[in-house]
Amino acid sequence: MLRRSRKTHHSNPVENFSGLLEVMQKSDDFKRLQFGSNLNLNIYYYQSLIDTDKVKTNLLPYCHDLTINNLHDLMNILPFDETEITSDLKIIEEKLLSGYIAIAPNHDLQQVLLMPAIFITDRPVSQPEIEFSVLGPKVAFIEDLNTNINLIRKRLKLPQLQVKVLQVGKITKTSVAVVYIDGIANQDNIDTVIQRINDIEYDQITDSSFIGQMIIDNSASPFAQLMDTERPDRVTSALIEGKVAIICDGSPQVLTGPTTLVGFFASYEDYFLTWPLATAFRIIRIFAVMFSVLVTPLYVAVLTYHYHVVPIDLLGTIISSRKDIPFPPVLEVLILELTIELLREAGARLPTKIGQTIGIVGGIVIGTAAVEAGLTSNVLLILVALAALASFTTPIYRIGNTIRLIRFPFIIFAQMWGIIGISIAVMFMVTHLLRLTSLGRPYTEPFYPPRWPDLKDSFFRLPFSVQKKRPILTTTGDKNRMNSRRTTAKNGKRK
Amino acid sequence: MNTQQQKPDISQMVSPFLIFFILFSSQMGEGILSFGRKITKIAGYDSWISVLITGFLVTLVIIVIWRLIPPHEDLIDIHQTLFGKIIGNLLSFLFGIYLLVISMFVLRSYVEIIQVWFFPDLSLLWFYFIIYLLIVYIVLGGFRIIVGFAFFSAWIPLSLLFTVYTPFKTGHIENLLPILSTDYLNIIKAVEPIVSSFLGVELILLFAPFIRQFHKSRKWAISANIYTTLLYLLIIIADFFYFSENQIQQLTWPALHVWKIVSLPFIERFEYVGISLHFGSIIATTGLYFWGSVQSFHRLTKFSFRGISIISAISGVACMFVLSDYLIVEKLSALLTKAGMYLLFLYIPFLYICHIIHTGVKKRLES
Repeated sequence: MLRRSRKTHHSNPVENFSGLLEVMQKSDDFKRLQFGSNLNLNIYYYQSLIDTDKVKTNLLPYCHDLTINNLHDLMNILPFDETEITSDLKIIEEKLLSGYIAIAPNHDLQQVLLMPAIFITDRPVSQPEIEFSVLGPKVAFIEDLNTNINLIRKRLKLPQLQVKVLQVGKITKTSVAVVYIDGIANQDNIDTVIQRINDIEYDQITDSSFIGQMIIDNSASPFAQLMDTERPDRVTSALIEGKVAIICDGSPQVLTGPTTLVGFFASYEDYFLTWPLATAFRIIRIFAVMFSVLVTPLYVAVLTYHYHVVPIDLLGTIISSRKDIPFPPVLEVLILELTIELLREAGARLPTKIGQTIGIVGGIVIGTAAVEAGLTSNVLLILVALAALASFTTPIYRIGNTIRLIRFPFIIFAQMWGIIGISIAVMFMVTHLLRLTSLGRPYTEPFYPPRWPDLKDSFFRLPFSVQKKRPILTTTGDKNRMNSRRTTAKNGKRK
Repeated sequence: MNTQQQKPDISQMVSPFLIFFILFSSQMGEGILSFGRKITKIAGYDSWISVLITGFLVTLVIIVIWRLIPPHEDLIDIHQTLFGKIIGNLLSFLFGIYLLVISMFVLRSYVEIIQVWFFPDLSLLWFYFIIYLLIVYIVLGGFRIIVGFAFFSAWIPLSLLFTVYTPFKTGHIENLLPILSTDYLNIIKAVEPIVSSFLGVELILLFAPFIRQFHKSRKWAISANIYTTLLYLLIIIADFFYFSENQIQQLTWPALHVWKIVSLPFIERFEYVGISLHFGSIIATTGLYFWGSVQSFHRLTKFSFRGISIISAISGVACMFVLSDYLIVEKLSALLTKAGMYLLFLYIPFLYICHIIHTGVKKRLES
């Protein structure tokens, strides 16, 4: 695909401006206007890319001006900053395609005046929808790169905040900005990110997740190795911690890295609550995820092999709910899990209002009917619904998908060897997590390698007075979060 | 990361305090579940003293090991400098075989528990295939990954420690009294069976170059050994509180029967959960021994680490069928215990003496 597109793209190399015009005029939205002043100006533009009002009010009055004798006069009189006169075909092509107007006198097509009249079609900055929080700021990124950088710069009024813009994608030529705070972010991380983005060879980059998949350390892993967020406050906080942010034009999701596994279970709202609450909620979230992954495999293991593990009273309840079920536990679980997955997929694809209806129809009607028809036990229905609910507690959508998927191997292992099988599956997962790295940094940090100071903001969210140092994970240039003079003075006293 | 180097660079090294978890994990094998039976047969209710004695002796061995190893060198280098290339490499090869056999033995004796408790008709080929796949997956990650696995698994015995609460609450402290009712000689003799539960110390001979500031890490190794000793002590005393002397000798795995007493509101037979959790420790021990054996073969030959580990894994799966009968496993256990005891208490001190003589002669020659 890549080779073919390159071929069509360069099959007829244009040699001059009129050749370029010939190619462009094949498209119906490419317009040409002619004015009969003493310069005989020709105006070329893509109608779909420019703001017609700007042209009408700012350009047309001068076109009939008889005092203008050459392009330079016209350029000086036009009320725009970014006008330029050039004969470089590459620049002309690029600018025309990004919403500029080309002006050239009829007799001389060598020199072209380029004037910006870009039509901005972006939606206004709106509320976060995926990472909604009840407390705190309600701003989310949008598709426009400059707006997104603006949202970050507004929160970080620092000359050290640096933005490196790279062009990625053979055809799309998407602008990708690598954002970091100079002096805090680790230079190795910045270099790694920039180098990996530069090394990307692909024709289209339409979203930051393309970049995310192409630059991560292990792309075969179901676990995300870069954090993606739509919250500017979260990105700002990550930048201050010494992480690197990647913003892609056309994507409302910003990637930050390096990250750790526990980072995915930290909601930014945790920082708006007092620390005991925040810690409690984080622990609840992590237990919810473990429950979500392990509960149906345990159901399969216990009901297939180890019914003696269940206390006798509970066993009675389970048996009575299962006595008419014609399937073995594993089949029952797989059917119900797949039903939930179906509902989830359908709910994600359908328009909001229909989605709600389908949710009710699927969740309540099918669920109740399946139990009444004797296809599944209601104990399992409760467990599967709880597991599905628990998987939604993850603040980052991407890790929720991972949790959806990884329970299936667990179910298979549980069917093979019961609880021992589950423990083997857990060991495989732990090894996989140990082997993962995010931009070369260990993924299971701070547990392994054990960096006890980093525990202050992982499983727990300890008070801000304890968060004196930036995480060791990012190996920042400036480790102290607080006023460095004050902390060093204190240290001196202690010694 | 997958390419294991013969001599480690900084990216493969681990912090010195992780030696605590490495040593503790390599000591935690199947032994913790079964040693009660073996030592009670010899020294009765006084065998807890043997645990303390063994712990003390192994601490001495640790001190000797730390004095024996020169910086950035492992057992293979020591063998070569002391005995020359051919004999030294032969000894290192035997050591590698010994480690491989232990790794198989640890796994095999745990599979026995799984067969007895869970699945009498377990499909062994398939099971060993998956387990060795897991071990190779861990080992190929490099030293840091196997240590990470050992690190996580080291918390399992600790989390299972709450099970001793019930025997302590309902048991009889009088069982232990009077202390020293057994013959002194029997207490000393009981050291032998329990040594197999303390094995793992010899792995440090190979791990040493992978540990940053190795010579500062001795205190962590000693504290790991003390921790192991205390854990065993707690378990054996819990056994003694709850069971009579004769009963323990009847139970193949006394610790499992202690788990059986535990009753939680939502779990009836806790030993099922316990066996599944403890399997993590077993895989860590097997993995550490497996890594040690592959590393020694890798150092001796020029084959790749990956190739040797795959060959070792296949031979491991194959050997498991030779060890199909539990009586053979028990015989092997006795043999390995003897080998381990001689290794720790005779061979390592012998190496140390040779080392002292060698350095002394070298110094004299130089001056």
